[in-house]
Amino acid sequence: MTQTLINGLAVGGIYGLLAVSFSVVYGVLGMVNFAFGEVFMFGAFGALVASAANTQIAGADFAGPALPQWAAIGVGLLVGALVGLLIERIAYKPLRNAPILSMLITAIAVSMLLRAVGTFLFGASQSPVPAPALGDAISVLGARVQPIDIVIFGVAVLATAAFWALVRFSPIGRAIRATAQDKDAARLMGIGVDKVISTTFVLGSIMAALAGILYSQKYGFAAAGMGFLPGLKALVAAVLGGIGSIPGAFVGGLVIGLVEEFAAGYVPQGSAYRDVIAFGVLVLVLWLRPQGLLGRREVQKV
Amino acid sequence: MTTSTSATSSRLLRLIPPAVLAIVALLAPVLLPGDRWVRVAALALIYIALASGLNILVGLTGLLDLGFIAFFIVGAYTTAILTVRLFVDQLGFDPDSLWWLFPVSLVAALLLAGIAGAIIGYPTLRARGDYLAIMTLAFGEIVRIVSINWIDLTGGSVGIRNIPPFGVGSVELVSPAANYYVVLAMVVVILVALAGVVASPVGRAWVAIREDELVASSMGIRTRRYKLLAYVCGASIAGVTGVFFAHMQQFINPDSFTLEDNFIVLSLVILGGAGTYWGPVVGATLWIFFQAIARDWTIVQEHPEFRTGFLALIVIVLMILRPGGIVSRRLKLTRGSTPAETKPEGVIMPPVENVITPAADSVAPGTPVLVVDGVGRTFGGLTALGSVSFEVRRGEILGLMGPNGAGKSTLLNVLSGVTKPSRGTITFRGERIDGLESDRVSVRGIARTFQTVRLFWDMTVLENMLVGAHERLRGWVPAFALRLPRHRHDESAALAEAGILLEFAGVGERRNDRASSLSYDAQRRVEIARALMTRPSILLLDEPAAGMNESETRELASLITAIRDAGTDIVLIEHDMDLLMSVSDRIVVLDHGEVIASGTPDEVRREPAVLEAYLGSDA
Amino acid sequence: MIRRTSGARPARRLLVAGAAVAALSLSLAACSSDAGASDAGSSSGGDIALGYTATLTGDFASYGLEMREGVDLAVEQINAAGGIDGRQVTIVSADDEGSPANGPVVAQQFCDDSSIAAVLGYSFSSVALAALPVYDQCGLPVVASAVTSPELTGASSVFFRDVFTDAYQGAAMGEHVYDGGTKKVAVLYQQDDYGQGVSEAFSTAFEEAGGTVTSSQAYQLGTVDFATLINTALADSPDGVFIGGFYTEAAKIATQLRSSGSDLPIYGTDGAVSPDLVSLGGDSVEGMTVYSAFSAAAGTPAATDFVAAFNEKFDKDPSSWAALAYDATNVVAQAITDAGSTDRADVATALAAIDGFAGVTGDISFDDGGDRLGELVFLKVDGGAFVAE
Repeated sequence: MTQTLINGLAVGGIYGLLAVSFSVVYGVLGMVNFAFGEVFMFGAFGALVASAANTQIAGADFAGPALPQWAAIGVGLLVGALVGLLIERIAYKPLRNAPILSMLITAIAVSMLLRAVGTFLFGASQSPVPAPALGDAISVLGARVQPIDIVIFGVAVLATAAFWALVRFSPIGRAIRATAQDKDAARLMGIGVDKVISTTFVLGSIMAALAGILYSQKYGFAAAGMGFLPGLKALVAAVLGGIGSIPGAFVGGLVIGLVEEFAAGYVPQGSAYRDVIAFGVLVLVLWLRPQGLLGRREVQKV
Repeated sequence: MTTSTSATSSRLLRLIPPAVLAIVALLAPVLLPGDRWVRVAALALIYIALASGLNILVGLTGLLDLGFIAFFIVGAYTTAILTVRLFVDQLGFDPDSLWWLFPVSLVAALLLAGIAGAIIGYPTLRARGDYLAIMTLAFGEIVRIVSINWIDLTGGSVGIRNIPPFGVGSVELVSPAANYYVVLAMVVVILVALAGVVASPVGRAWVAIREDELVASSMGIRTRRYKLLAYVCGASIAGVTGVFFAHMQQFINPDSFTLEDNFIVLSLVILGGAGTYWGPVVGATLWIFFQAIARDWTIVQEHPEFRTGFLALIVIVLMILRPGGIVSRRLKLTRGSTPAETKPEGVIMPPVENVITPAADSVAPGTPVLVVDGVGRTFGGLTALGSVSFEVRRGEILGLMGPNGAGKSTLLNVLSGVTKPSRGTITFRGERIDGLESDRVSVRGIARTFQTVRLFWDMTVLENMLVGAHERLRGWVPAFALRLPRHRHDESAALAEAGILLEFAGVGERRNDRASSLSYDAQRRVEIARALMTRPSILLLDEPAAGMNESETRELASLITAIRDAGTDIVLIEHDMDLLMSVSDRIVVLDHGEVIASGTPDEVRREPAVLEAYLGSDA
Repeated sequence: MIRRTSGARPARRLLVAGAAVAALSLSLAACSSDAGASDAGSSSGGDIALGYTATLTGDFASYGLEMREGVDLAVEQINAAGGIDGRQVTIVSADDEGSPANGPVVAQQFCDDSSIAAVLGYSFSSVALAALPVYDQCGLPVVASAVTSPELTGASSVFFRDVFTDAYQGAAMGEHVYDGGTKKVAVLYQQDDYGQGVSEAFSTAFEEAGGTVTSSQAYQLGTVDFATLINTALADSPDGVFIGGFYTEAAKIATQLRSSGSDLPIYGTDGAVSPDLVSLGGDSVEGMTVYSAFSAAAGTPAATDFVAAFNEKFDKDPSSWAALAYDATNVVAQAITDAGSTDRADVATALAAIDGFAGVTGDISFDDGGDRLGELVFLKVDGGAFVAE
């Protein structure tokens, strides 16, 4: 029981981080950036390549910088931010006034394209990621807790709180919230809306990359397709929490993580149906409460 | 266009591309070098059908579905389970004797996929577009994972094999060419049926929803029902395709349908042209053959990811530069057309009164027809309408005036069912209509226009008009798919009416133009004519003269009085005082959500409260 | 086994790409000549072509590429020895991309090419199953080397394989584990035909031998988090853990099992036999026991010669897939020699009659269902390499 709870929180922390990315960009742009799953992947590879002594990129051997762990993580976050900025500038900016459908389709295409690029650069197979040296598992209430899980949960909570505080209290946060509420009004108030959107994208991408790095450390691998399923789950989490809300997204992530682990542990053959259960929860919630668990109903404008 | 011979020849010209396509499709097995390519072509046909089905959702109705392949899975497994699991394994039939079961499977798959479509479609009607996308994605994954895990039924990952090939009696159609022709027949039937449905009230309703859901609803279209119908139709096509796929392959398992296929089919629709008729056909054909050819390229063999990457890149570039796709040819939403010239010599057109209000109206002039009693509307803590009471009488133009923020537009929205009143009652011809959806209000006989012109910009003027005739043209989908003559007759009648109304509104010569190409003045007139097409007994006009110059406004005034004289009562909101005063029989003045005056224009003009409201209390 | 794996190395990719280009020109030539399938094999002169298809690209390419190496070595040796009845052997290669929808397309391509006498390869059981109706139509025999699904047993009169079925291998592993002294096992398996088939056979044999399966849990291919599964598995205090699945998940299960503090012995399947098991699993997979149809360290004279020749050509040890494909190619050559013609029906008959062919993976015979009869090799991870137990 305690063990399952702890497993669920660790997995949920990663989902929560990624869900925050989806949520905050949705809040500002009103679109689901499906490509965050791939930013997640690029973040993980960024950190992996930066920490390695020699690597293969696009089939060719390179000498890696072999940076220490903390610097490699910084590089991973930077790579994620860069990828996020690029896709926003190249693919989404020209569509600012296009119908929502066009933006969603573009987002899906961007996600497909980035996965192809990832496969090209890093190969189709899983690359091993060395486990961080954090010492042995500790015992909590009769359950074994891996140090990495504590780190993940702690980092996830801190990063989400910091992000929330940034949006809540800083000048750029005010600009983000103003843009989220009414782009035109924000523009009239002298807010550089394009800059705000790019900033939001970069911040969201950093969260996604962070999630990707933690994920690759926990499970010991990175792969071009690694972001797909977590991305989907995080999206589900963001929707559950009421997309657009930062605390909601994080809580949604924890809920999905816990539901999955408890289903795997307590439902007969639950592990085989793990994904069905997560998606089933989503379908059920949207049947009963189309605006999400913590979301508000939107008023139609005429 | 002006003579009948050139009309015929242009019609013939229009038939050339499909005819060429048909010949190519028929000869493909002969033209292609080897049976391998015939099998590729058959696979392309499967994708054509899938893309065409998805196009109903994404292209026509503007609904994203990321789990579309699920319906295909449902269809394929339906026939496999029915044929192999039930009839062969359980009931002990000889697989070779089961050819008669195929049509049964087809119907079963059609129904099951349709039901699955309805189930997934239902909650999404209330959810927002992006939630809908995620939900369809989740649903698609659920179906796929269940097909892997429910081993007793689906055979799990092993799948189901020994599915009988196509055949009639003892003749088995197993050769690649025979398979190809069977699937081709399916695609032709789907495309012909789809063309029938697209050029019908159903297709127009879908496109209207995509273009402007609110306006579609104000034309009497039950938008939720039509969105659900789009899901059901798209799902049914995918289900039927799945049945053919299963019998063509004679084997299915979950590897046959990956999540990526959802995105690929979606990309094909975009590539070819979403919302066009031939787009999915072109997109799917190009992609499948490109795939098959590229398989032999060294670069692709070393990096197979380049193929999907390439497709994704094309989609991104298309979205930015050419959202219409390769085939950007607009969809024709009606089969009929009226000649561009006005009244043919010697033909007596019915008088416009009979078109606007065809049913003889027994209500005596001056009788109240629309009674608004104590209607109020509050948004959050903000009171937009306090408690408004007035009536509209038979045979009059009622002017509605008030300063900005007085609540005029809110009142109009409440009257037309766009927003629900927080309190009070609205009675129309003795029946309560407060609380009805705007499509029901429209069907009762109250039509409206919008403050900023809201036409279906991607449709022609005539198609816009036909959407207005939705309520009397609507019917059963299979009847449109089969193109029953009754519907064609109804549509011709509606087109004739549309012609008369457009003449009446002074825009008869623009009938075949695209709505977006019209001048502002013409747009206004078309919007009014379209509202009249619903045969309203009351027409609500929301600032129709906004943005018009003086002479246009004068002409508009005479159009408005002509509509009243033809038998439709009018509620007119207008900022242009001259217009309002000159055409209104009575005027109601609103301020801060309350009626502050009412009476004839002269009475209202002298009312001190009105002056105060308009000029401020200092005046 | 085998449905999926990964990791094509660039050097091999180039090699395969080169071969594929050659094959492409051949196949296009075949296409344009538009030869019917009916007159297949009637010509007695010219080269003898063999079709080769497998998943050569994408996430799961490595098995197909390894098999191709075995095929290439065998063809090179056959041709160096004067070919079959003086006729040289060539390979026509096609990539099925692991997609069942491509199965019939590739099969049709081979059927259309009248110079092809038999087909080798196949990475995925599902692709082979999808292709069988087409082979049945044109009577082209197939000798597969990596598809292990029991569904393929007896599925077609022209389908043979020199790899053992999951049922056979799983059962052999069950007895082996019990005999090794492990009496209680927790089973984790991949939720698909491979994982399920192999685990069921394992469990049945293990319990028949007298052991107890304490728990049996399925997971989806692609799962990364096994903490809860492991928790459940260890709850019944088993003596060992059996993983019926591929190396990607096996490595993660091993890692997470070890970090949960357990040092129980781990048993795997041929699906875990990959260098990537070690690179992903590291120390955690050390000592893990798996089985395979072949080991480079097997030590029979035939195997020793093969390993030497393979080392010379490719500068590395052959995998069991290369060995199986090498044997399959030689079996086909033997059958064509026995038949005295490349007529497809005659070759199929000769294949069915193959009895005790001395291959590098042991003696090869096919039963009535086209399945291989023979012996398994058990391997252990030792110092990051697979060694014979």
